[in-house]
Parts: sequence; structure tokens; C-alpha cells
Amino acid sequence: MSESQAVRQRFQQQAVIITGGSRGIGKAIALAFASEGADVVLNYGSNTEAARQAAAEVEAKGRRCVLVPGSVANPEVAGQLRDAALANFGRIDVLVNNAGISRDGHLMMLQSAAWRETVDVNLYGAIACCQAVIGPMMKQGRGVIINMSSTAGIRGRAGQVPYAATKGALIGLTQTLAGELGPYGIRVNCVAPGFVETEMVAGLMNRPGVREGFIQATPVRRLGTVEDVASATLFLASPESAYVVGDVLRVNGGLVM
Amino acid sequence: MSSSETVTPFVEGLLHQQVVMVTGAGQPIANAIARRLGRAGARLALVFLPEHEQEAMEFARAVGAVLALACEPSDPQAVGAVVRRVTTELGGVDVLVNASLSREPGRWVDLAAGQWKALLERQLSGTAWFCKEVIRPMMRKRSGRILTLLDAAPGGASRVAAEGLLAMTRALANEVARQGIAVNTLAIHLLAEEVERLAPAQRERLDGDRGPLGRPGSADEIAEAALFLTSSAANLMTGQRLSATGGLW
Repeated sequence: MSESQAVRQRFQQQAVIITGGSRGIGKAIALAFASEGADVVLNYGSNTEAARQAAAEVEAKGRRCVLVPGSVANPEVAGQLRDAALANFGRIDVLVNNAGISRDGHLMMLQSAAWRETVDVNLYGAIACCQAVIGPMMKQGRGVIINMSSTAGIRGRAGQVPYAATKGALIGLTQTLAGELGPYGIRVNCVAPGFVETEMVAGLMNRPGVREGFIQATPVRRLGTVEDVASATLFLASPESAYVVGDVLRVNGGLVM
Repeated sequence: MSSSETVTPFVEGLLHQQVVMVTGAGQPIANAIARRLGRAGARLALVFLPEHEQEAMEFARAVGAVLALACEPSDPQAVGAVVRRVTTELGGVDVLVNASLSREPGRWVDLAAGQWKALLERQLSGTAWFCKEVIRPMMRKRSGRILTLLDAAPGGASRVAAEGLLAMTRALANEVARQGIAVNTLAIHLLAEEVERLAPAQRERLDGDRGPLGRPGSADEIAEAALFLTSSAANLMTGQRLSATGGLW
């Protein structure tokens, strides 16, 4: 944790929903929000142990954490997240649509189930969560939604057609909702990370030469960290970005400009 | 197609004897594109949504299409069957034009869950199925062109699909470029044919939305841009988004 984060408390008394929050980027975002005073509703897919560990770390920072299990591909989960936030914290200040999966392979060989799964989680899950929180946020007259896109959603990436399609669609969703919800005090933005070392990309990164290749292709000569993405997410959730609307914040070390 | 094979003798023959599959037939934009590509020498295989059967069959007869097939694009099996039929009967697919563009106006937040899902299943997933199915026949010939139409509207349901299709196109273009297959998008905005159908009040609201050119485009103008992107004139273009919008981004 950097010094500036330790002293700032930008999210005191706020309630934040984070999907896919037991590991990787989602967990880092949860901990960063908790460090700055927010209570957290943490959704996770299936890894209960990791989720409990993440919740314990949030609580160790003196904040409350409510766990909501289940893939966001299940349409009921979005409503459960909203209800958990309202029942426990009485409000929803921020929704971070972070849950995401990647089923890689060339489109020609793609099984329809792999496409289905990717779209259900990455796109439909995010849409359902947006729809669930819009009502309460409108009532509050304020709110922030942040969707987790990817450099693949901006520039595409061979072997990741379903992932790129959903991450691109999230950019379209961000811009559409930003236009429609801006008048209600709800800001919608997008974060597009580059290569961040998480379990999701571990398989790719462990292939010979891949890791080094990405580092060399990145102007700052390193892969991203989960904290890099969390810092950008918190900026978009904070009043410092009050006039940033419908934007795609690239957090990729210059990999895609 | 290698650079040495680039031949542009005269525009009418640009697609001479090429098998061109156009989706969305029976609707103004797809029809204009099919008509233009047919005039450039293409053998047309038209694909239409089940609800557009009557218009599509009439158009197919008028334009002299070789095949006209109904297909629900959100059903991957149905798309596979249609593409197999085209490749079997016409010996392959040289060009795929995804022109089944839904232009439903209105705000995203007003759509019920069933509505946005149905829309994205057709626009986003459906386009993916067509792309997937034509790649293998195109790879056999080591050449092919895929063109996907996008709505350039700044918001609404179609923007979600448009950004997804754009990223999909860029990913796919990288996958298949070495196999001689080009994948591009053509962004369009409101067309004269569509403006005519709007109520006067809606039309007035559009006045600030006409862009630098100050007038809506026509389906025929879109068709010219589509001809360029589906022909050897665009041999060096792949993974791109061309805007035929009168200057709007």
C-alpha cells in the first residue's frame, strides 16, 4: 500500500459491490476500497476459501464485508448483490463489474458452449448487475459504475475472439449507460487493463518466452500489478474523476496506446 | 490474395463470379449492398431473418440471387447449416457481409432483460457464428473477405453490439490474416431511407445530429463503401473500421 492511499479516506461510509472479488484484480480492488473506508459486498464464483480469506483481509482493515457466492451468469446473483448491499449498508455507492473469464482458442475451433459461457459472465452478468443497481443509485441521486474491460476490448487479440467481443461490448455498454445515467448523477466508466499477473493469465504467461515478450512490448518494461488496476479503479470511483464520464481508462504500461 | 493478384480492371467486374453471402436480406441496407455487389459480378447467397421471409424472397427474385435462405442467427446450428448449404451448392464462400443490423432506437435502460438479450444474441453472438462458419471454407481457398456493419450511433442498444463487434473483428483479423482472410467493419449512421420513416418530431431532433455533411446518407452510398471493402481494392485492409457516416465518428 502506498503512503498516499494510507492517509486518504475517500470512500468513508460508502458501500461498494465488487464482482469476481475473491482473487486477482477484484480482491485488490476490494482491499483498496476497504483501506479508504468503504464497506464491501464481495461476489465470488466458487472459491469459498479464497473469498473468506479476502473477506478477512477487508475486515482486518476495520471494514465490513458481505460475501455473495455465485457466478454473475446466474441472473439471480445481480439482485442478491443489490439486496445484500441495501440490507447491510443501506446504500450502493459503487458497482465494480470485475468478474470475467476467458476461453481462449481460435474462432474456427470455438465450441458454442465456450462462447456462451464467456458472454454470460463477462457481458450479460455485467449488464444484469448494472440493471440491478440503477434503481437504488437513481434514488440516491448518485452512484458510480465501473466496468472492467481489457486492451483486448480496444485492439482485439488473436485467439481471444469471445473475450475481445465481450470486453469491447462492455466499452459500448459503458458509453451508452454513461449517456443515459449521467443526468441522474450516476457516472459510468471503464478500466482497460493490459497484462496483469493474475491466475487468469497464468497459463499464457507460463509458456516459454511469452512473459518476456510482453514485458519487452510494454514501454514501461513490466507487467501490470493488481494494485495498478485497483488505483485506477479507485480514481474513477472518487470525486477526483467527477467530470470523467463514459471513458476508457487504459492501465497497460503503454502496451496499447 | 497476394499483392500481385490485385486487379481492378473496371468496377463492374470487381467481384466477378465470387460467392457473396449477405445477411439481413429483405431490409434496405442489406438489399442495397447485395444489389451493388451483384452488379459487380457476385453470385449472391442471401440470408434473411425468419420474419423477413416475404420481402427477402421478393428481393432475391428481383436481384437474381442464386440462393436465399432463412436463418435465425442466434442459433449456431442453424447458421452452420446455412453456411454448409451455400458452400456445397456454390463451391465455397468468398465474401461474407454481416448486414443484419438492428436499428432499434431508444434508450438502453428502458429495455427489459429479454429485449437486450435477444438483441445481443442476434447482433453479437449471431455475427460470431457466421464468421466462425465461413472461416474454414475461406481457408481452403486461402482467401476471403468478411465485412461487418456497425451502427455508429453514440448510444443505445446498438452501441453495445457495435463495440463488441469492433473488438471481435480486430481479434479475428489477427487470427486469420495469414490465411488470406480479411475482416473489416463498416460503420453507418442514420440513412435517408430511415429518416423518411420517422415522425416529424423525431426528425426535428435529428437536426443537430446530422454531422459535418449535413445530410443523412443513403443505402446506396453504404453499398459503394461495402463494395470497396469486399473487393480486391481493399487488399491491404484488415481489422479496420471504415466510417461511412457523413463525417460523424
